[in-house]
Amino acid sequence: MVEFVRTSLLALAAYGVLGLFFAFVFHLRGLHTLDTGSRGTGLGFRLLITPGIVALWPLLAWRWRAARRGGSFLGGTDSPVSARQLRATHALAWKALALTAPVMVAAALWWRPKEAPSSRIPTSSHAPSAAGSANHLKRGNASAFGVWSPGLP
Amino acid sequence: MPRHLEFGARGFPDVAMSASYRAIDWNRQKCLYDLTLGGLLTLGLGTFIGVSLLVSPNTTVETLLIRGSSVSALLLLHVILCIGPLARLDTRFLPLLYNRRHLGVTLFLLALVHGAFAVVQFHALGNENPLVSVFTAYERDYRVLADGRVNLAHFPFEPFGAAALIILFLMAATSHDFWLRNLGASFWKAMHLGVYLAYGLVLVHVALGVLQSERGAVYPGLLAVGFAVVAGLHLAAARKEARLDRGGNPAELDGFMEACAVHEIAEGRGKVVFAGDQRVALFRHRDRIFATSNLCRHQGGPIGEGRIVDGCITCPWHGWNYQPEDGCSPPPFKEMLATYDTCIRDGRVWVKTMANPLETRCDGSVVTAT
Repeated sequence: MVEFVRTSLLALAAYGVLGLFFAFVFHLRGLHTLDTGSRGTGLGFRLLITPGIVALWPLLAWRWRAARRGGSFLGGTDSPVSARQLRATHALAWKALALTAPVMVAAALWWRPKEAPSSRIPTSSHAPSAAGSANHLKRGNASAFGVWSPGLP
Repeated sequence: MPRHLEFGARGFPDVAMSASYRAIDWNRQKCLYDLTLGGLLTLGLGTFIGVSLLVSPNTTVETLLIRGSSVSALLLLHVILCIGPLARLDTRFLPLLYNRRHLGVTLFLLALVHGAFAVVQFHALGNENPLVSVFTAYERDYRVLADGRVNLAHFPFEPFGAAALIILFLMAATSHDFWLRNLGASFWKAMHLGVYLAYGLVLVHVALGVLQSERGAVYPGLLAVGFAVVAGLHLAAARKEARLDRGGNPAELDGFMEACAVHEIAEGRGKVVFAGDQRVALFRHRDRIFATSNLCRHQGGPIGEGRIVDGCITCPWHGWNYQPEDGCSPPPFKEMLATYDTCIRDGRVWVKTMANPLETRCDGSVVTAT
């Protein structure tokens, strides 16, 4: 499990780094090609859309490629989502929530321990103890912030 | 394309336009909205911190921040989820709908503060990478006890919060109109429906997290009330929408369907009717009745709940506008709505059930004095 999580986080970090690199190139060369409405925009607009570019860079790369080949993808040519379809999705989401949420919360309350685990309420009067469950209580032997050694391989 | 909005009388957006994006189109209404949001959040956080210190004076600053940000975020999430159905049930809530994306971004930032401080507080002092620890720290502690009872106190609840945070990040990062346009309305809307999944994940996160520690009935009670309010409002709004969709059993003649009485549509105002298998927006402008599709090209807003501003049909959600005669946005914008033929017989408005091809001009039906 730990190895799986480490590998997944490493893959996510690599995806993010690639996204940052893509964002840099996209701001230089791709933005105006993809969307003419972005011409003449300021730094604030570019900063605001950068997190999304980093997160969704494969999708934007695909759109950009299509735009360079003369294809046009823009919301203006995409039909707005059908209201009927939207209402159906809303209804489905709320049916699922209405059924599962109360059951999950009730189950969590039913099975909760008779005594509160003190390690989950960290106050200055609660010194970390060996009975705790968090990382610094369970695994670590470090004594200050930033002492952990990066676990990524 | 973005529109610059100013709210005029009765909280309805008056519209001026811009042909290019801006980071944020600040205007008086938007500033007021954000100032109110900031004030209420400060007040809520201050109250929470004050009460917490009164009840438990030894609480650390980190804990206050972790809990204060989580309570604020949870409250804001409930408010956000209530705005949509409230606006559908009563148009007086429409101004809350406008600028709702700022609420979403604020919600993400609060959740991020909560997550960041929680990671530092609970996972940063070990030998393991804190982020790895978030997903693995409880691995060995979650078990069935010797007496057969499930030990939920050590259930790995944090990954549920992390998943919700990722969804909220994606929604906040793509809240600008640039994304709506470049991802496409269908994809964008589908992605933003993820808020319901995030809500479910947050409920599990809270139930398996803080509710395992808290002995009192206050937190479970508040959570139950919050869920009941949100679910109740959505249910009520869905029933109202379903009633509109059923629309009785209107008469049909020569491809036209009887919609409503002429006097039901005030000058400069709209009305949503059901024609054929879809909703149609009727508008009365200069004593003529016009009909267009009820779906705004921006975010699918209910056009028929808008009104005529400066000769244009104006969507109540974000102020996108269209000419009533041909459904086209005024230049330089290119969005367009389908128009429908109308006619008036014996003081009743009839609408053709088949939409016209885009850009078809209709001069509207003249309302004659009776």
